[in-house]
Amino acid sequence: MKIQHTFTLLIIPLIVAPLLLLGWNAYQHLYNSSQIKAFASVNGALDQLAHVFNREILQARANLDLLATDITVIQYALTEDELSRYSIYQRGVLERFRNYQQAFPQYQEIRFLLTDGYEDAYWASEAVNNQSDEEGDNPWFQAMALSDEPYFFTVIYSPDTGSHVIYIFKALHIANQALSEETNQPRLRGYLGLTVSFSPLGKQLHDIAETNNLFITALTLPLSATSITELTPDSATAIVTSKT
Amino acid sequence: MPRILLVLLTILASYTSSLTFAKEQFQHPNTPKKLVLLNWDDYMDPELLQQFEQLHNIQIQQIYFESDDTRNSILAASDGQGYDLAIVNEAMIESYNDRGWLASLPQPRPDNFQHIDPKWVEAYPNTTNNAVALFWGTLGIAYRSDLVSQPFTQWSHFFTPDKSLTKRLGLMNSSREVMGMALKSLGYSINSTNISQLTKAAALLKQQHPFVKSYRYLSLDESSDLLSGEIFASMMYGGDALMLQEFNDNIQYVIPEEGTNIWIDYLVVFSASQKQDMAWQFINFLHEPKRAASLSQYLYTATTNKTAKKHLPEHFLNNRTIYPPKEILKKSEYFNNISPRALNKINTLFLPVFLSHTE
Repeated sequence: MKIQHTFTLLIIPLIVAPLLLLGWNAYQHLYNSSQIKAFASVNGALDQLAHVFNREILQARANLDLLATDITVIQYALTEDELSRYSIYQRGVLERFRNYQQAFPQYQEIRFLLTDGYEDAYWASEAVNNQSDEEGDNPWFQAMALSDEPYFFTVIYSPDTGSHVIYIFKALHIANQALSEETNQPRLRGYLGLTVSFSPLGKQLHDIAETNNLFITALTLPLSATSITELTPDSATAIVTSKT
Repeated sequence: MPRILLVLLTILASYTSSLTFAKEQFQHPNTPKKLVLLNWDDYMDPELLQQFEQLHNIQIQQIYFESDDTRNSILAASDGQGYDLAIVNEAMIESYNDRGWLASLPQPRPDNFQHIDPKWVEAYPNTTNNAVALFWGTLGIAYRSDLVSQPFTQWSHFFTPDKSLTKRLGLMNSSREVMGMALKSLGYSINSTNISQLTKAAALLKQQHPFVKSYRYLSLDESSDLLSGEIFASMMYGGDALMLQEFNDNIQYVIPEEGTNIWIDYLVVFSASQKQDMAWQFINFLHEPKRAASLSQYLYTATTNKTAKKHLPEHFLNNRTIYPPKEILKKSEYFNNISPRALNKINTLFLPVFLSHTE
């Protein structure tokens, strides 16, 4: 072997190997750095999504709270005789539902369900084609009925609207003050509920997603009523994450 | 001394307060007592009210409602309190009674109740213990013959009108009346609870929406939209159409060929009223046959008082709007008591049509 060849075989690895090592290190460093940046970006976007989603849910919950304190709604829910409920009180309740729907067009349906799932008072925007007034057999209703939580929500594909919507309900436990103290304990009269359209919310989510190069898709949640009694930004993040 | 003064002061104070009480109770023995009547607008003869006041020293204060449904809302808001009497349609008496709002008829029955034709009592047996039938009539279409291109003869002309009637129709805001007549125009019974038929009737009402100027029952005085020409045709009770005819001869009333609803108006006394005796006295007063005949003529409405008919002139009894011919009555129906959930369905289909309307 000529000395020139020996020299080449020794020198070249000595030069190339450190270069490769350096390159690999640089690559690793850049990769880790961009991954951290990407994660930070996704986390930021998810926080934003969670905030938007959380705000919508909390607003819906506040509106249900307000509606549930309306004397006409209370009187309606307390009236056990169906004929009286429908012939005397229902118009007032539907007028209030209409007013809410006009103020919050994203509420596609506003309704009062009896404890067996019967749609007792129902108001919907024109786009909704109500397929049934019996919700008792639907798994989401059964899950809600089994829950002890005062509020429930789920994201679901609604055949009435032909799109994904948020169902948010408040259980109405009301005491009848007209009865004696022994018998006027608050009792479940039904569920006051909103069907929130994803459209306005969806636009905001879409904008956030586009800015952050995210892909969002709506997945139907496992059919269980999700308590939002203690909805925190963290749990909202978890909810959004589970839907993205 | 101070003790004597105290005793004297106490005696004086009790004397003064007893005087004040006596003053409130007896100072004006002629001050009329008052009954509050929840009534349709223009649905009572003021002269009769005056006679009643002179005879019994009882004033009638009227509070008006514009539809059966608004009366229900008024009563719902006060839980049936604050009123002594009301005019109530047949379909609501059972509900009011179930709420405990109605007083039972007194025993023995006031004398003039014997003049009420039993057929009106039998029409709604559930009303016999709490309500006194006063008038009956029909629901039809009142229209301006000088403003419409052709006369209305059928409900279908009203519910599927031609373009010239855009924003020119008047309806009312009572679920059963409007849905009932829409059902009738489609060839169904006004008492149908068939979901498919109700859905078709609601679809018809939605189609009619652009033609509707108002879902408020028209006023019966000079300010009526039918007189001003704002509205060309409206659902209306026969007697009311005849009242408006007094202002304009071009107003015609028709009971459509498909038939219509025969309604009965009752007077009820509220259980919360502290003046139930006076209230029954007033109803008894209205059913004295000559007065019942006079009131019937004033309102152009058929009386339920069979003895009063003897005091009505021939031309009144022959008026086809007030006493429609038998062939029309045969095609017409009373509103039956339907199941509560069927009523819920009717409300759920009709109220969005009415509540989403903007004039």
